[in-house]
Amino acid sequence: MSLVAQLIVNGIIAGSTYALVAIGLTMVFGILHFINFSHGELVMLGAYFTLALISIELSLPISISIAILLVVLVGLITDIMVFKPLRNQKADSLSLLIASIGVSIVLQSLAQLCWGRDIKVLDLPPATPIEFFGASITLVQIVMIFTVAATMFLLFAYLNFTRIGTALRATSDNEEMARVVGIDNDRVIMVLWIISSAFAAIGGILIGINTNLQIGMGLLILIKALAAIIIGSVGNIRGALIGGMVIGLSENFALIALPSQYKDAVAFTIMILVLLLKPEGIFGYKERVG
Amino acid sequence: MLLELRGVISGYGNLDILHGVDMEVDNGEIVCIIGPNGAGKSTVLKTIFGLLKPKGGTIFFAGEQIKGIDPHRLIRKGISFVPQDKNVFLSLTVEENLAMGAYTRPNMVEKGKELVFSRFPSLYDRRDIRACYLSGGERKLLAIGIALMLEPSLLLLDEPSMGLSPKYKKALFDKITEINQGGIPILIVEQNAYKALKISHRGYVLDMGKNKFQGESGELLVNSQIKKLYLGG
Repeated sequence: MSLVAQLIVNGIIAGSTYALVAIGLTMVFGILHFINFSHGELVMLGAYFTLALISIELSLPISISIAILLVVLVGLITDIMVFKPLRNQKADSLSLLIASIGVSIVLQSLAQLCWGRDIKVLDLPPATPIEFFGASITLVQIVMIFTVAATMFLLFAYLNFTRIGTALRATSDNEEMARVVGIDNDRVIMVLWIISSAFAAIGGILIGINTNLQIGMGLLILIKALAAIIIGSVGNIRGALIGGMVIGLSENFALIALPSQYKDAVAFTIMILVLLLKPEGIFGYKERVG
Repeated sequence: MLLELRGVISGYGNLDILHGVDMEVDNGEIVCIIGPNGAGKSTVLKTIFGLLKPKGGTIFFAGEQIKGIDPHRLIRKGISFVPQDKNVFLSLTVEENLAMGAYTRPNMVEKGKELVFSRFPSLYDRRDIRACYLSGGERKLLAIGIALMLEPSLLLLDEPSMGLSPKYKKALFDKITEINQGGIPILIVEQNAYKALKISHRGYVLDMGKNKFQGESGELLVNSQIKKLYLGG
């Protein structure tokens, strides 16, 4: 029983970081129609910026806030320097995808130049685990889960109850019609990058707090997020949230039967099953005809 | 004159579809554009609305040159366009769709919704439902509703009856007449030429991207040449 409780706790913690990263990835796909490979690097930078800011004696909350702002800045700069010029040339999804791989490599190299290849840990006070229904969980992890829940709640409120949020969903749904009603595309895309970069940064910071920091951590998390958005239907935000949770929980539950090095294979087995059985994803819906 | 096109040349990329089209719409009118497939009927509307940039000619709206101006600015000047298909946001609710119709003027959302719901009461009952769950007929009404949100001074309708059953078609044409009687001039493209001429004041027949005939709808309806060529005998 305590094993199951522990797996649920670990699964939710892992799943909520996957979900944060997956949401940004799926939103960018929904509006700009490409898988942004450099999204993983925004996750990595979130963690490393926090590390750098803590090392200059700033408090954790201030370090985290500045790190998020810096990652948002990086996200906006990649759009202005790379993706926007490509869009203006009417580049197809494949060109954008390949360009994003390039951006990913550049960002990773720059990070390696600054911080080296060694594994790092955030210098935080030691956390004492507390007992929770037979599972052991630290206070930091509880705060993490609540942070993710609050962030998601804010996002859903923003998308559903504000004018720009609704315009963002409208543009993702039907770009041509968005133009017909006069939605300002540049503004929507800017908001999109701010949300997606901030979420990536928060995801990276949470991973950094919970485990450790590696220059290559972006790719690992990107691939999990990719599986999450496919499970939840590409472009669907709620789907990305559920998909992330499904992967986090299932890869932890797989530990009951499988050695831990097979953990990653579980996410992809589920993804492939979804692709075979319900190719449009769990949240894909078909338009009513007639 | 509310809208005036002179010698408009337009098309997609290097391919010209319109080779010098003249057209006028006056306040209070329903004007229809009919003609065979590929005549450039929809191209006229997309060019007026700035979705296609004309290569030649002039377009005046309320005395002002609007050639090549972007859609979001034309909306603010009072032109609304209802595309032929994909003209609603399927994943948004009916109310959200309408709110997007007033995106450029957020303070008009409430007033616009009231106006649209009073004109299309069936949409009010379905206001919380996503557009993908509406029937084809309701979806058409929603598309027109989006365009009516800002009380436009010119409404451009691209083949509104397409894909509807005969029963819905009749109801839709009645609605269009009503909207016009409420004071909104309409420029309508229709593949159903007979019906279009029946509800409109004047008509233009386009063929191969050029004006072929024009005149009072009543006269065009009885014109033997038009009857033979476009009204199926």
